[in-house]
Amino acid sequence: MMRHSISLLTVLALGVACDTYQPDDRSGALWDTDVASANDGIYINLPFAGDLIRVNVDGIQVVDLAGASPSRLVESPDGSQVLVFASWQECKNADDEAVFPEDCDELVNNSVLSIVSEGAVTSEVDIPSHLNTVSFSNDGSIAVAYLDYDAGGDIQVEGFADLGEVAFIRLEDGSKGSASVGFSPKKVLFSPDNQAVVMSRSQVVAVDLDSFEKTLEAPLTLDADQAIDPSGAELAYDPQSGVTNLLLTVQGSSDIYMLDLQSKYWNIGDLGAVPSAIGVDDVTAQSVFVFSGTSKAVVLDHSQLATLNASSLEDIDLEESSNKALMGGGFALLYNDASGAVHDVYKLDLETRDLTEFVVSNPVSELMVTESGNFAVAVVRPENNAGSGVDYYTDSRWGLSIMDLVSEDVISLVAESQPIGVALVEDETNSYALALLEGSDTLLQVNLAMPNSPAEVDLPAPPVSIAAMPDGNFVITHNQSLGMVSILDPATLELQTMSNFAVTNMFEQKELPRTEGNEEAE
Amino acid sequence: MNSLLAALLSGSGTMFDHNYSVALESGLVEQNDVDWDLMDNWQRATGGVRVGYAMSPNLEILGSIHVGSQSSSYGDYYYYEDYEYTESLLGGYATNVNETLIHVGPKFSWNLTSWFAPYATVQGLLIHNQLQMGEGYSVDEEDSATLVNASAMGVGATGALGFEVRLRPIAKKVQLFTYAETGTTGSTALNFALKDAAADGSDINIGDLGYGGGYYRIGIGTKF
Repeated sequence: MMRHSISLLTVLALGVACDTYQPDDRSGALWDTDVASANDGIYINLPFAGDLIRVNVDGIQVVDLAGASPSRLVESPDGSQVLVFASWQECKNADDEAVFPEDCDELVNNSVLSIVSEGAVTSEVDIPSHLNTVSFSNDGSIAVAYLDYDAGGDIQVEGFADLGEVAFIRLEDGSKGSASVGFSPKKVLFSPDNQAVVMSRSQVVAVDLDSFEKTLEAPLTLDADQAIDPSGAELAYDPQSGVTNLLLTVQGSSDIYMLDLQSKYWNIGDLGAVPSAIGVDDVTAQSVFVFSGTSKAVVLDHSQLATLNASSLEDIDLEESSNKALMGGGFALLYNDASGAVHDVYKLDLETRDLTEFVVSNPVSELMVTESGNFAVAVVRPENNAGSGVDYYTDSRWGLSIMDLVSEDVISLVAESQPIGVALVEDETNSYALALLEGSDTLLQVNLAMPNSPAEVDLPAPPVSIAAMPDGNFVITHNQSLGMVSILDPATLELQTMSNFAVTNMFEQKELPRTEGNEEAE
Repeated sequence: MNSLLAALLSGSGTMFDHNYSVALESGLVEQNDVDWDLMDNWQRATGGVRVGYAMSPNLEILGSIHVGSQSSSYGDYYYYEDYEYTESLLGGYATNVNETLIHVGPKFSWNLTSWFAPYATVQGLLIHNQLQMGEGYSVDEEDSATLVNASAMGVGATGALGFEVRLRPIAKKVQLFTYAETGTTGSTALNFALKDAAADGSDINIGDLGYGGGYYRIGIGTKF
C-alpha cells in the first residue's frame, strides 16, 4: 500500500514540477506598418488578430468587416475612403456546425474589396483574390484593380481565374464592372474623355468608365505568334487639336507607338535607341524619353503627333545616360538610378531646351522635386567603387544632395545611416525635406535653402516610414511591435503619438464568419 | 530504509488532534486556452501557501493563495510564411502574466490510518491576472517605449481527490504531513482590455485568457 502511494506521489510530483506543454503555431507581426492615411484617421491592418482598426487622436476603433480579415489597404486619392483587400473563410461542409476554422474540413476563402469611410464599410465588392494592384481615375471616383505580376506576392486561384481581368469599382456606390484585357495587364492610364486605357501583352484596350464597356481593342502586332510586352506608356494630350494620344514603348525595341484615341489611328516612330522611361509635361505639352544605354534624351512636342516624322523627335545630348525622367512644371529632371557610376542629374527646360547639369556626390537612389519646382532632393547611395580619404568617407555613405533649381547650386550632405523616408514640404517662404534615418530616434527637418543646420525632432521610438496625409500632415510609423504611429504637423513640428493599438483583439479566436449558426450565436 | 519509513510514519495509533494546518504547495490549474501560447509554450507551476482550520477530524476548511507568472519574449525578426522566412520590420515583444489564484473550500478526509488519509475537496476559486506586454525582451516600463498593462479577474470552482501522508507527531504538538491532489477546475474567462482607449472613450478589447481542465497540487506542511 505504502509503496503504491509513494509511487503515485512521485508521478504527481513530476507531473506538477515538469510544466505542461502548450503548442504555439501562430507567428507574424501584430500590425502592418503599411498604413493607410485617410481624412478621418489612420487605418491599420492587424494581421495577427485579423482585424482592421482606425486610429486617430480620439482613440482606437475596430472597423467591422463582417468577419473578413484585411490583407492590404489603399487610400483613395482624396483621403475620403480606404479600399481594404480582405478575405473571409467559409465552411463548405454540408450540415456542418463548425464555429472555428479548425473545426471545418472544407474551408473556402472568399476575397472581397471593402470600401471603408468614417470607420465603417460603405460597400463590399467580390473580387478575384489575385488582383493586387489598384489605380484611381483622374477624379478619384473609380478604382481599377488588376493583376500586375511584377508587383510580387502569391497568386491565389480557386477554380479558374482570368488573369487578364480588370475590375472597375465605382467608389460612391460600390458598383462593379470588369473587362478582360488580354494577357498580363501592365499599366492603366486615364484619359480626359473618361476612358481607362489598359496595356497588356500585344494589345491595348480602352474601357468607358461610365458603362465599363470596352470601346477599343487595338493589337500591337498582326502576328498572333509574336508577343509584344509594353515597357512604358503615357497619355499625351495635344491642346491644339484636343486629341489624346497613347505613347507606348515596348521591351527591346526603339519604336514609339502612338495611338490616337479619337480616330483609333496608329502611328509608329523610331527613337533611335531602346527607351527606359517616358515623362509627360502637361504645361508645355511635350514628352521626354530617356535611355539607359544611350547618353541622350528625346523630346516630342505633342503638336507634332498628328504629322509625326523623324524631325518631330528632337535629340538632346547628355554627358551620361539617364534612365529616369522626373517631370516638373515645364522642365524635366533626368537621372540614373541604375548605374553605380553616374552622378549626373540634368534639368532640361522644355521651353528653352536649356540643359543644366548637377553633379551629386554619389549615385542617385531616389529623386524628388518640390511642388514649386524650386528644389530637387536626391537620396544618394554608397558607391560601388569608393575612392580614398574624404572621398572614401563620402562615397561609402548614404546622403542627401539638394539641388537649387533656380540658382543651379548643389549641396551634398552625408547621412549617419540610410534614409528610410524622405518627404518634401513647403510653406509660403521655405521648402523643407523631412528625413528619417535608419536606427535614429530623430526626425531631421532640412531647410533646403540652408541645409547645413537641420532642425531635429525627437521621436518616441525609431521610425519605419513617413508618408504624407491628405490634410497636409505626415504619418510616421515606428518600429514598435505593440503599435506606434505619430502624426507630425510640418508647420509646428509637433508630434501626436498613438501606441499599443496592435494588441486589439489579440486574444480573440476568430470564428467562421457569415455562417448561420455563428450569426445566431452572436 | 523501510524501517526508517515505518518509524517516521508510525503514530500512537490514534489521530493527532489539531486545530490548524499550514502548508507550502506547488501546482497548477490547467490553462485551457490557446492564447496562453503567446505567453509561454510551457505552462509554469504556481507556488503558494495553504492554511486549514479543522472543524472535526474529518472536516477541514482550507484556504490557499498561489502566485506565479507566465512569460516569454516573442521575436518578430523573422516569421515563417508560405514556406519561406520573411523579415519583419518590427522588433518583437515580451509578454508576462502575473497570476494570483485563491482557493477556499472544505476538505473531507477518510482517515484510514493514523498516517494515511485519502480526501476529497471542493473549493471556490478567485483568479486575478495582471497582463504586461513590452517591446523587445522587456516588460520593464523604463526599458519600453510602449507598455501594455491590464488586469482581469475570474471566478470558478475546483473539485479534487487527494491523499495525505502524516508523520509521527512531534511532542504531541505538531505533525508534519505531505499531500498530493488532482482534479478538475472550471472558471470564467479573464477579459483584458485597454482602458478608455476607444475613440468613444470605452475600453478596447484585448481578449480573454481562460483557465480550466486539469488541477494538480502537491504540498508539505504541519498541523498544530
